[in-house]
Amino acid sequence: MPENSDASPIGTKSHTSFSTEVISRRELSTRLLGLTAAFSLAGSHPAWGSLLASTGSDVADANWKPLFLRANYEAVQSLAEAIIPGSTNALVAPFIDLLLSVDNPARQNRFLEALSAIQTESNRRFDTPFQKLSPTQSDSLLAMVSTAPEGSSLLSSFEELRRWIADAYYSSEPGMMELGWTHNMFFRSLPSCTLPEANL
Amino acid sequence: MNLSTNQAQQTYDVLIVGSGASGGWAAKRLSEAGLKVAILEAGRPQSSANFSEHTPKFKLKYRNMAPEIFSKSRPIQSKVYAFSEYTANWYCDDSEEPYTTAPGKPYNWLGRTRVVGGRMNIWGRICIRYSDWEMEAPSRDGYGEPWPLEYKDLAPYYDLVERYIGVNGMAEGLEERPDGVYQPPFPLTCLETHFRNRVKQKFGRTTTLQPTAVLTQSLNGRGACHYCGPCERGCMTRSYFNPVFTTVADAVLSGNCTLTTNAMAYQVLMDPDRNRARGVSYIDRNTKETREINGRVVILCAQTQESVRILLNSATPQHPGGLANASGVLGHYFTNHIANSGASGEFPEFGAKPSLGGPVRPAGVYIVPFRNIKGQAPRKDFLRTYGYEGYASVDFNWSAHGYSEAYKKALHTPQVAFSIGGWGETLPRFDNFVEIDSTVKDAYGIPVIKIHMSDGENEDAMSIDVVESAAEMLDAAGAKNIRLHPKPAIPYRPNHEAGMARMGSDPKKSILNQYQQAHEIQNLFVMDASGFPTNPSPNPALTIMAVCVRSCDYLMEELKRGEI
Repeated sequence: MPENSDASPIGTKSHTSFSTEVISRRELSTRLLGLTAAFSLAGSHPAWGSLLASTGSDVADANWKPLFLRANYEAVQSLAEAIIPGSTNALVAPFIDLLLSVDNPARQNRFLEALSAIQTESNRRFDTPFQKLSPTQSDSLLAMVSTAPEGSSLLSSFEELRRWIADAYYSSEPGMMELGWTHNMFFRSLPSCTLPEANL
Repeated sequence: MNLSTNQAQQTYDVLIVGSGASGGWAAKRLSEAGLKVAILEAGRPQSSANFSEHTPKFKLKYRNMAPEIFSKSRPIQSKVYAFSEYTANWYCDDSEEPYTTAPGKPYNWLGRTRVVGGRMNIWGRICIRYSDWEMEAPSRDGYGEPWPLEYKDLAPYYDLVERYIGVNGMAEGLEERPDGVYQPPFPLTCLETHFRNRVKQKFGRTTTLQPTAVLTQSLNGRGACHYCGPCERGCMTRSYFNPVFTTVADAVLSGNCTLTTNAMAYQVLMDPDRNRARGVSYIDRNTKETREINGRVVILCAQTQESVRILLNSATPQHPGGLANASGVLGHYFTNHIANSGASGEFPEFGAKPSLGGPVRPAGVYIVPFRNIKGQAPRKDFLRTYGYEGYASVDFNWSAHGYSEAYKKALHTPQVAFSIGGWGETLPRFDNFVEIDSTVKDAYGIPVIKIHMSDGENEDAMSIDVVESAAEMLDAAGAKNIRLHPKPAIPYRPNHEAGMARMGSDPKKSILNQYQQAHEIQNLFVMDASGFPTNPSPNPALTIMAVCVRSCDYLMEELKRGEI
């Protein structure tokens, strides 16, 4: 739901060569109320409820008790933070655990096998599991596995784990905000092309 | 809402089964004219409280990333493009409402919504008129039956429907694709403009904005689009057309329409002495009790397969093969669209910073059919035609390499793509059909249908041309890394089913006349796409609505004249 202040339009958003105005909550409400004057439900327009209500909250929270990963939970947490910084704050590991807990055995196994491959490499190189590595060691390991030969099981294991972590991170609120999401869902117009050939 | 005993004993002027594209319009048109109307809707009530278009992913328990949670309840419905964790309960539970298919002919029956408004809650909103050239195709190529009405018969109804639902689009002045009554169009992006110009210059083909039932100007208490994006999850400003807050709402507001939800229509009830429909039996989804409702006229608008299922399940000694089926064609000539092949390419020079924070245009582009059109020599490899739907996208680089901050940075490298896919007519063939599978009943005790549907040589040849022509146009526009998307082994079947109770002038070859009235049962109408003799390439919803309103006007005239 929009969290913008009630101030008048909060400005323009740069979008390469385009510009797009956003609509403030107050303006939207005013417009909707005007529009609904002739409508039978005027006075109880759903826009009000939708604007004012807040929706549910994340199930995966900081005190998460692992449902599926259990012994591997710490390793996933460490890997997530190392692969995408900010993952701990974004509760990536709890969310991955939640997803895995309802997934099918094939995908669960693929995840566990990928994790096992990274742990095996960590133990081989440093004689310690990933979650116990120093920052230098973990960086060294990730640098190696992320540049492993194309088609190697190490690279595919790394990419499998990174895909899960990226999906979880960039669907979280902090992750979405890194991708430009702003809570605003109301825009006055669309960008249009200003190239000369638009007028052909 | 359930009928009270008094309501159940009442005889309505008109019973309408279904509240989607056609059911909503029939209810509005007839109730506003003063007729007493009852709508039976198989689904639950729908309201804006169920809309979630502004709810971000992270507010969902599984953020729409756990398909397995629907593997038991909605393994088929979850394949439709609009399905998501947000709106999963708008769709039927596949385990409760099964259907069967013929061996070796898998068919995904998608979009089986169970809420007021039906599929129009989740539709793609594309509104393209049919042309005479398409409707007359069977007369030219000898395949199937021609439409018993012409474009000029439909044109005023297209106008009427478009003015009410609000369609934005670009008038192009093409005979093969008649323009509609449009609100100002959404703008094209620079890449789309570039593609449109290059393809026009090189091939003379027209790329235009998809005419879309989304408002760009306020209309009848509905607001203009605010570009949030996911129309298929509802719209708090009511900017896209949905019967829930338009036709059905108008019908109920007329004071002449009773809407009964959770009512699974089972059979049309007949008066055998007069050979007239007298009502409809239905199962209350909550109590599973069988109920009856009476009406002077019955209109089926339940969706193509559902309406035909009701007709087949309503067989009587006088109509042993299903109602109004003396011709023997009921259930046959099942059509859909080919919709699973095309091509895509990259246009890095049109790079713009990807962002989740900008407006989203709820429409793509449309390439007007250019095969087998008027003035051209017909193709030797396939009959009929197709159009393309497509879109330009600027996405994040989800294939970025590395990890940590370098990965985050690489993710923001724009990935600019243009994808187009063909939507083409499938030929109406007798051997594509549905029948009642008497061995299987749904959770409400209603026998289910068995679907026999497969593509033939024509669809395969058309699909090949779709891919080749898509690549050719992308290449002409300067695309890099063009990827071909050939038809998959199990085709995607869009929510564009039509046929099986086709209209026609000859009662020996058709079920309905040009007003969607059963040849054999005067007070029985089928006003969804079941009556379409062919399934031209455009998305059918606009034509479903226009034909329905025309049929309603005929019905009212007939009632006035005492002919029904």
